[in-house]
Amino acid sequence: MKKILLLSSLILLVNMAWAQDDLLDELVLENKKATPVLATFKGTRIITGQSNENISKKHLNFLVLHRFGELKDDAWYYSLLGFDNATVRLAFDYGITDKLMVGVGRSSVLKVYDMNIKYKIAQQTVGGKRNFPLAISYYGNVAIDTKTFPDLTRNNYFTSRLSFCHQLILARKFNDKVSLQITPTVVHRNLVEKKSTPNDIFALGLGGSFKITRSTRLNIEYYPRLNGTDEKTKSGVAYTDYLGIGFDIETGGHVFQLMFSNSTYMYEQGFITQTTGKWSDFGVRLGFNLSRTFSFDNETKHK
Amino acid sequence: MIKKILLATILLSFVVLSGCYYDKEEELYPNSINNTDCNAPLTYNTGIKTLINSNCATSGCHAAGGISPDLSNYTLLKASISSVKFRAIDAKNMPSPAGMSACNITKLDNWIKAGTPE
Repeated sequence: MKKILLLSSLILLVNMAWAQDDLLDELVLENKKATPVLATFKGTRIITGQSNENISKKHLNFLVLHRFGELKDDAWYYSLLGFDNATVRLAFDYGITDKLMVGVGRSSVLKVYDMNIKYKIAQQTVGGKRNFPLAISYYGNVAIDTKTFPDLTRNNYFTSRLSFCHQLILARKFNDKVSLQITPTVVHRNLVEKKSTPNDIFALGLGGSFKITRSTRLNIEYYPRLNGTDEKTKSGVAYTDYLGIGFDIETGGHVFQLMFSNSTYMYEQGFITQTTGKWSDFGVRLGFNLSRTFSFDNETKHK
Repeated sequence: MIKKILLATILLSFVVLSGCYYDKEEELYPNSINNTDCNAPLTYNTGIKTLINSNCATSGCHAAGGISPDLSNYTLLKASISSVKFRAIDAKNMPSPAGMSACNITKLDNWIKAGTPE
């Protein structure tokens, strides 16, 4: 008797759950409004390059980015995987609105200050009758190289210190597991070394993020240059294209990004046009990004 | 209203800062490139000291009180000459990240090959 009672109550419960599902479906169907897709990428950067994500309105993001020395420089235990030759970029990003973000940063490599702006032009939407398939953002920055000029006897100009980058970020979240991004980029340097070197470098950034577990994702980022690929450093080393492979590890409130890449630079002009490391030659660096967001929005402040 | 003004200011500052120039060092400074004899034999006191002091033993780097190794005098430089050769001449990644000019590399390389004369 008891068993029958239990069984029948179980069936009833399952039936109720079914019924509830149907009701929910009807609600969703009735309310066919397109909603923006959230969290295409976990951070404002896929690895070193920008993602389509902004930080929210009235939020301040403090970023600490590190890139170690190249793994091939010393025996790994001697400089602890390049730890002794680490470079750093500290940055603050602020969300003026949910769509507009501005930031400043300072890199230890070449003593570069940079200012940047990112604007969400369009958002990918889901659930409506007509959905927009892509997230589109504009990212632009100016970098100021404040290192002493190599030759103080010549007539040096402040404008020679400036370089610019403009990016159109096209991203799509296919599902919870896969997000991809294409980033047409132009980098302009006011002063280059040789007559044959173009001041404008075009690159086509490719990026992707793939879910591994609930709190970790695998990210890949590649920025092949489309022109000026025969450019060399003053010491005669050829520049290479930037390639990074990294992991996002989410730990309540922080996103910790750990990566291997072939560039020491943490701003676009640097890693797109001045990367010298070769993956084939172990010219790879360990690096990590840490970010912490502070809220100045009293209306939605949680804690 | 304030928000809009702030927005406009920020956008405008980016436009203003986008002062684009298309300069080339070869054209801007025609005399300063390749005007010194890179192959002239040097001693520590007749040129290498200046080269090391302006490229390696700068304040906060490989100078006294900076990062190891200290390269601020002849004895110290000679003691670390193999790692200097490796990073500045062979790997070309010191000074970080992109190394010295080709002319300076030749000068330093010739000096090491000549037995690091003082």
